[in-house]
Amino acid sequence: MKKIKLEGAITAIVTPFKKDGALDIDALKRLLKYQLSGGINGIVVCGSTGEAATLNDEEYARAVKCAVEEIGGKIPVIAGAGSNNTQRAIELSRIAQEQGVDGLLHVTPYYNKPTPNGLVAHFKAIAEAVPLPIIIYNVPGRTGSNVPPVMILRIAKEVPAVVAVKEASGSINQIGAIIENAPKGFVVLSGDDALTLPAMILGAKGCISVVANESPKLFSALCQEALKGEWHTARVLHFKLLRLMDVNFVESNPIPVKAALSMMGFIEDVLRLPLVALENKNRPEVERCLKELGLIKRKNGKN
Amino acid sequence: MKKIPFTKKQMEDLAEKYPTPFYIYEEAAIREAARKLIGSFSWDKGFKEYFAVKATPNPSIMTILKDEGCGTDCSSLPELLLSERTGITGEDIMFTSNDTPAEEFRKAHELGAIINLDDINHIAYLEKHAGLPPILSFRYNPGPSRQGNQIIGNPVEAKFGMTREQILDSYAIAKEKGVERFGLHTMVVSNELRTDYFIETARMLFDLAGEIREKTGAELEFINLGGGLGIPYKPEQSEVDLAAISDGIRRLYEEAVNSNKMSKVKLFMECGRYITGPHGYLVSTVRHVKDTYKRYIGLDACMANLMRPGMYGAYHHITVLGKENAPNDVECDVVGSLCENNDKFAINRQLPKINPGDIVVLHDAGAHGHAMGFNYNGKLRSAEFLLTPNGSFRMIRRAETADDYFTTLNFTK
Repeated sequence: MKKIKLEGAITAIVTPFKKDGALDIDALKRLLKYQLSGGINGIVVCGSTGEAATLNDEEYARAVKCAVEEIGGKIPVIAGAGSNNTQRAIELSRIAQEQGVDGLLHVTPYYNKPTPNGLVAHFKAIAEAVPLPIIIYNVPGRTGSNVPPVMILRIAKEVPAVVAVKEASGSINQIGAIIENAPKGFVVLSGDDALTLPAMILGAKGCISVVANESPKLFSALCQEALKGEWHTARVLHFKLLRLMDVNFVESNPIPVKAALSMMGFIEDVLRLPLVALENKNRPEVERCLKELGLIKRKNGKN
Repeated sequence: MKKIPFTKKQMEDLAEKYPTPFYIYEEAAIREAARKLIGSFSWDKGFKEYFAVKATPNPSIMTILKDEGCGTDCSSLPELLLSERTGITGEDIMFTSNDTPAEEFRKAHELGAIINLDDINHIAYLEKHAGLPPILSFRYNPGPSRQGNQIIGNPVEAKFGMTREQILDSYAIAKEKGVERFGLHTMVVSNELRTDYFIETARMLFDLAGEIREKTGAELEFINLGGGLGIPYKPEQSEVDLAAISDGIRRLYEEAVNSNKMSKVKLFMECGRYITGPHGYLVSTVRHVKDTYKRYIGLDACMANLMRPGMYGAYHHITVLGKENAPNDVECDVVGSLCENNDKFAINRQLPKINPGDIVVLHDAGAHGHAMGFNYNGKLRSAEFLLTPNGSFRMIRRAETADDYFTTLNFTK
């Protein structure tokens, strides 16, 4: 099985759409170039930030392929391939594997309410079908059910292909409990930008991030300083980014971050239903945060 | 041309994450300076440099100097606390203060620091508030017999130290009160480049040591020659000749010992500027260029970040990154944004043509630079970075925020 280095800032990249709703590969390339130049340590393509739920197989394959080609092996590319239908999760994983990804991100099955044995069987089935490293994604806010640390650890133990967890439970206790008892080499990644620093103090290795879409440079610097144990500096960067981290969730992710990236000139502000573009009342705050960080220019002379 | 240990690109990258202005200190060069100073006095086995914390009061810098074998010269309670928190205690601290409050004496005594008294009346004051330690040092002010220099001023006008009569009495009083070990200290000049000054100071102190022995019977254990070693702020100046200073002092030392004026006392120094001054840089971005009766280059740093030019009219060399080889054919004043017209880093300076967004480096800001910073006009203090020997920049102080500045205020109605 492929080895994968999961460390530092990994961007859950948005999937850009054109005005007519079609997949915008050129814009995706622009974003990926920006990510590389910002010193990011990995890319998750077609995750929930990438609106994967609204992509058909052909679009999914093109987006993943684009990421693999544009990144060119410089950093790991991970594809979101999760589903609450195990067979479907396997199909997506196979498509991603064909495009040449380095790993898979699988959200824990939602809606069906699997039992513990069912959860293990789900990940085992994927691992047997597709020989790629798997990151479990625990995000109770989206799936409606929390997978507790004992369960994460059980999956890690019984399914060796599961090498990491993206923890987005929002519970620092839970993150600590996984790290404390994790088998050697098992990686915990924060799934919440604003919890990255506290999680890394406890031993998390990085974050699968939304805010890195907008500021790969600052967010990767935050993770690098934290990896070096330079907490003082990491704190400065944390507080510098905190407002933007919060604003990114003023509406459902990726609505605000797509608005931001469109203000920055990278993409069209287009989402696929059932998501719609950011409400006007929330735009000034996004704009203010971007200006503060120098991510968009202040208007010179005008107004 | 003055050397800069970092590139324009490195500063642009750093400034993207942490806005200018900020200070950069070069660790390797600071270590080198400490080694050079200590090395040039290697003939005195007891020689010790007590780094003047006031020059660059940052625990990361102090730790580096501790590692090089330096102690600390402290002048206030926070400086004593900084030393303590950096793991520097006992006789690795020399406490020299004036108009000293009781609590500072108490803390110095508690830490076992060598206490250096500025006034004869402080013996009783120290005894009353902290008790007398087994070792005491006294600060000598030579008065009209020496000339001083621009920063410290004429010794007669200087508030520091005691007269000859007072200092002799002080040893006698302390001895009577049971103090057993003694030191002698002076500090006549600051930022002095001329060799003779230091040799003359040593001669003065060695003579005084003889008189102390003769008149009071007190036997000195050390003589602290003070600091005052200057650095070449201007490009045309050259470095202080440490070898010549050490050599001159050595001859006088041997003479004094051989003629039985004093025993083989340990020599101490308390340099700050010499150690960190040339190895610290204030990095700032040009905000505006203004043409009125003169051309003004407005920086994002101001006198609150570096006070020396405004306070002493001190010269700090300025380099515009990326324009090192451009002709210096534009005369301008380089200014900050304080509402004070002495907030000028340079007046009528010939510099290359400067545009907003250019990054400028103010040289020789490593001592009494950030340390002398203040908050007037609500200016916030900048971050400090250490350029480590592996080439990375380590933040050793974050920039102040407005909340830091407001933290002591009461906003309730």
